[in-house]
Amino acid sequence: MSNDQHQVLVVEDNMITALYYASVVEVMGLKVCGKAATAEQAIAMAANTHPAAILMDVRLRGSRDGIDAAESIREAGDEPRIIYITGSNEPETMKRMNESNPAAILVKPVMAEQLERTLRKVLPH
Amino acid sequence: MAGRGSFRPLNRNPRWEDPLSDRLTITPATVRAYRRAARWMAVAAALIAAVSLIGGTLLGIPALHQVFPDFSHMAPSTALLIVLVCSAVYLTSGGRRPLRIIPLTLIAVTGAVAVAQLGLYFWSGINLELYLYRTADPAGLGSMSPAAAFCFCLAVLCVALDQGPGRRVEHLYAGVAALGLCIALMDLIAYSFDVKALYAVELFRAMAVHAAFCFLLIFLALLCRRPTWSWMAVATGPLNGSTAFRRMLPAAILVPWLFCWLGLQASNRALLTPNFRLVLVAAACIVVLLAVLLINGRRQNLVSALRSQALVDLQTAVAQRDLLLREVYHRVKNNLQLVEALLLLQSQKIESQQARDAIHTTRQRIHMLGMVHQMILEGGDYDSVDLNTFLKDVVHSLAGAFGAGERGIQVTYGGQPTRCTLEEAIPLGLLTNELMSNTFKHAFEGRESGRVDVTLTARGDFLRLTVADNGVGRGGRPINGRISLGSDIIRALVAQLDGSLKETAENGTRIEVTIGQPAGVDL
Repeated sequence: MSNDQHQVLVVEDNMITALYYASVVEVMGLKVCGKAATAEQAIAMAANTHPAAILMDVRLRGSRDGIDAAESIREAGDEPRIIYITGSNEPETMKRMNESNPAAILVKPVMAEQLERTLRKVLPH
Repeated sequence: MAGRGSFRPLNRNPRWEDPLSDRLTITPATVRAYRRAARWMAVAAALIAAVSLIGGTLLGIPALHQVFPDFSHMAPSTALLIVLVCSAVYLTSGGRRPLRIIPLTLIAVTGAVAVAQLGLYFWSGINLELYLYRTADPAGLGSMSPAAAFCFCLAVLCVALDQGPGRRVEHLYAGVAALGLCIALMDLIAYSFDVKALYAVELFRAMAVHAAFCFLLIFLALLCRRPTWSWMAVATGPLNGSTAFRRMLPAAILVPWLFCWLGLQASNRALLTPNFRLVLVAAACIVVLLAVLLINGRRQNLVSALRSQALVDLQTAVAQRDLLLREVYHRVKNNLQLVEALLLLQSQKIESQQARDAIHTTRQRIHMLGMVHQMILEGGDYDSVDLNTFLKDVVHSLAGAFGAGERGIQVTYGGQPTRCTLEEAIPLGLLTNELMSNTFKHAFEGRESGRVDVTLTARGDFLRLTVADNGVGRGGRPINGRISLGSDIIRALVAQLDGSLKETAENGTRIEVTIGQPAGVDL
C-alpha cells in the first residue's frame, strides 16, 4: 500500500489549483498519486492507489460532489484521511462534511503553509 | 447630520396633518389642470348671467330671463353679482396675477350688496329688489331670493378666506364651498322634480334655475381652484381611493336622483300606495348601492392582488440579485486563490531566497483579500463585514503562516464585536497583515520566545487597532522612514482609512492605528 512515502490524492476540478496543491504536497516530500477532477475519477484512483490522504474539493464537476466521493471510497474499504477543501461553509454542506468523519476541513482561500500544516498534523509520522 | 435628506415642507400646523397626506401626491400639472377648469367654469357662469341680464332684462326676451314660463326670473342684481363674483374667482384662479385690489373690491361690493339684501329681507321685510326693479310678477318671483343672497355671502367668504395655506383655513374653505354647492344642487333638483314645491319654501323662493346653475359652477370653480385643499385632495388625488371616488361619482349623484324621480312619477300617476312607493325606492337604492360597492370591492381586490404579485416579483428579483452577487464574490475569491496558487508555483522555480520572500509577502496580501471575500460570503450581508471575526481569522492565519507556534511566539487577539464596510475591512486587514509581518520578521531576531498582542477597540465611529510585541524593538527601522515597501503600504493604508499611526518603543514595539475621535470615556 504505502512505501516510505505517504501517497496523497488530489481531487480538484480547477487544474491550476490542483497543480498548486500537488506542488505543496511534493515540496513536503510526499507523493501525489493522482489528480482527479470528478467524483468518479477520484473513486477509481483511490481504488487503484490506496492513498493515505485525500485533498478533496467539495464542489466538483458532474453530478456528485466530493462528499459523495469520500463516502464511496470509504464504502469500498479504504480508510484514507480526508481533508475537505470547500469554497463555501454553508450549514448544509458543513453538516454533511462533519457526518462523513473528515480529518480536517479547510475553507478557501487556502494558503500553502496552512495546507502543509494540516497535512503534517493529519498524516501518521 | 441634522436636516440631511429631509425635504418635506415645514408643517405649520401638525394637528391638522393627515397621516397619509394626499396633497403630496398630486402633481403640479394636475393642479394647473383643475385651476384651468375653475377659470372656465367661472367664465361659463359669468356668460350665462350676462346673457340673462342683457337678453332677458334689457332686451326683454323671456326665454333668457326665465327659461320656462312658470320659472323664476333671474333678477338683474343677481346677474350682476354673479358676473362680479365670477370675475373675482377668475382673477384669483392662477394664470396672470392681477393687482390684489381688483378681486378684493369685486368681492367687497358683492358681499355688501348680498348682506344688505339679506338684512333688509329678514329684518325689515323690505325687498330692495322690488324698489330698484319692479316686475309685473305679483308673486315677487323676479327678485333676488334669500338663498341667492346667502350663496353670494358663501362665495365671498370663500374668496376672502383664500389667503394662503393653513389646515384650518383649508377645511373651512372647502366646507363653505361644499355648503354653497349643496344649496345650488338642492335648487336644481327641486326644479327637476317640482317647481311649486320649491316656491313654497321661503328661502328658495324666486331663485332662478339658471342662477342655481351659475352657483353650481361658481362653487365647483371655487373647489377646483384649490384641488389640494381639505377633502378636495382626496377627490383629485392620483391614488387608488381617489380614482375609485371619481369612478363612483356619477353613480353617487345619478342613482339617488333617478330613484327619487321615479318615485315622484309613480306618485304623480298614483301608482301603488304612497308608503309602498317609498319602500320600493329605498329597496332599489340599497340594491344599487350594494352593486356599486361590490364592483368597487372587486376592483380593489384586483389592485391588492396585483400589488401582492408585484411584491412577490420584487422579492424574487432581490433574491436573484443576491444570488448573483454571491456568485460574483465567490468567483472573485476563487480568482484570488488562483493568483495565490500561481505565485506559489512560480516561486518554487526561483532560486533566490530574496525573490521567494518577496513573492511570499505578496501571496500573503492576496490571501488576506481572499479572506475578506470569504467573510462576506459567510456573513450573507454584502454591505458590511464582521470586522472582529475577520481580524481574528487574519491574526490566526498569519500566526500559522509565520510558524509562531514552532518559534515559541505566543499570539493573542482581543477585540470587540463591530461591523464595517468592505472599503474599511480591506485596508484594516492589509494593515494587520503588514504590521504583524513586520513583527514576525524583525521583532524576535535572536530570541527563543516572545508574544504578540493584537487588539481592536471600536466604539461608534472610533476604531483603534493595536499590534504590540515584547521583541527587540524596531531599532533602525522606523515605520515612517522610507525603508521597505511594507512601510509605504502601511502609510498608504493609514491615509486610506483617514487615520493616524503612533509608534511607541517600550518593552518592545507597540503600534496604534486610530480612526475617528474617541467618544466620551477614555479608551
